[in-house]
Amino acid sequence: MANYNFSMFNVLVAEDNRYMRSMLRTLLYALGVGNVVTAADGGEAIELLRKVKENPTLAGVSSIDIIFSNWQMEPVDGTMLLKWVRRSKESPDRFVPFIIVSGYADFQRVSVCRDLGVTEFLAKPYSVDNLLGRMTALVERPRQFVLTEQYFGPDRRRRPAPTPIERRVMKESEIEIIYDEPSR
Amino acid sequence: MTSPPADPPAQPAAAAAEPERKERVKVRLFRLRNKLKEKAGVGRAAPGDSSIAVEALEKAMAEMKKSQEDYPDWVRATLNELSDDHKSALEKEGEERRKHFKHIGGIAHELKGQGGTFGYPLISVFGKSLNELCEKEGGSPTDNQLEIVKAHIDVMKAVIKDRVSGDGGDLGRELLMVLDRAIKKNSAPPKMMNNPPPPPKPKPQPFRAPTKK
Repeated sequence: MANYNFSMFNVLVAEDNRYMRSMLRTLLYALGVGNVVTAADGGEAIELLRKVKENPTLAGVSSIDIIFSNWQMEPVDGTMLLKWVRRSKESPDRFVPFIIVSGYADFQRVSVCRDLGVTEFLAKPYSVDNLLGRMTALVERPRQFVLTEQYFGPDRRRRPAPTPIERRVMKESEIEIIYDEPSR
Repeated sequence: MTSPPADPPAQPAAAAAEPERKERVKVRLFRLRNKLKEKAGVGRAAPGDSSIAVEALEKAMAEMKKSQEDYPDWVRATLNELSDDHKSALEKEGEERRKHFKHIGGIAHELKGQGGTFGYPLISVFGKSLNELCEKEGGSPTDNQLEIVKAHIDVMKAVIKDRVSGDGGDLGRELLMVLDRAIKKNSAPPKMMNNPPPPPKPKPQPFRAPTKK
């Protein structure tokens, strides 16, 4: 069995509470993540991501592989950051895995994040196992991205399941599948 | 950095200018290379055939434990901030009072997320209860509601002072009961008087004959 080596990962943590921010950074380093950059709110995270796109040397990081963001932050919260990452032309990577970390774990709020294109949801309070579970889900079970007039983000259906009313476009002529370069 | 193979948000508009087949496309599916798996050095491993090194997991657990030990020391400042907000809210009225109440709700939300993470689930329970109180729709909070706020702060301070981790056993149950009693006491509707005075009778109006214009 092979062991994960996260030393090549660059992770961005956006969290306004400095203790929670510091703890998440410490845990990620302990799990072997190579580089963790932090932001005190969504606005600071956007500035950092802009820099990564415009001048990676100045940003001190060449790319961001995963974003962890708290939901409730001021003035720019986690959902606003998520929206920017997925929709803004200035975003360095609209496909980047995005994990919302929040104490708001009710269905309604999780649905809001889902419809904005979140990849995973980590409910507070969390344990090391919960954190590792989200990391391995990103590595082992990435989902295709879907672009429609109303939505852009990871496929919201994680597994094929029968639905009472099929709302998906099913005609082959109406679906375009785009691949990037094949795996080496 | 991954450059998107297409420009997702701009694409529907761009597609309109493209050949006929593109006009019919309603959904685009992006099936991308699993770069994270490659970066993690398990690109060729079958799904589920990889795991985290035991040493890394143990190190993370140890770091979490250390944070849990330090938590009471640094959360005290947050609880004192709650007390200051409560005091200020008592001194203010109307919109100003409401602002402090909302701020208390925000801190309570943070405590809800922190407590369980750091091994103090009672802080999460009390934080959740306080957050729900402060998020209720309404105008300026009453003095009674601020009493309930104070009761929450008091029990949370007790949890931290006595380092009541886990469910807290007997002391934990006692704190839950103390808070419950404070909520009931301050949520009760105002008591009715035993013999309320009868409503005042309407004064008889003198008859006035309609005047001719």
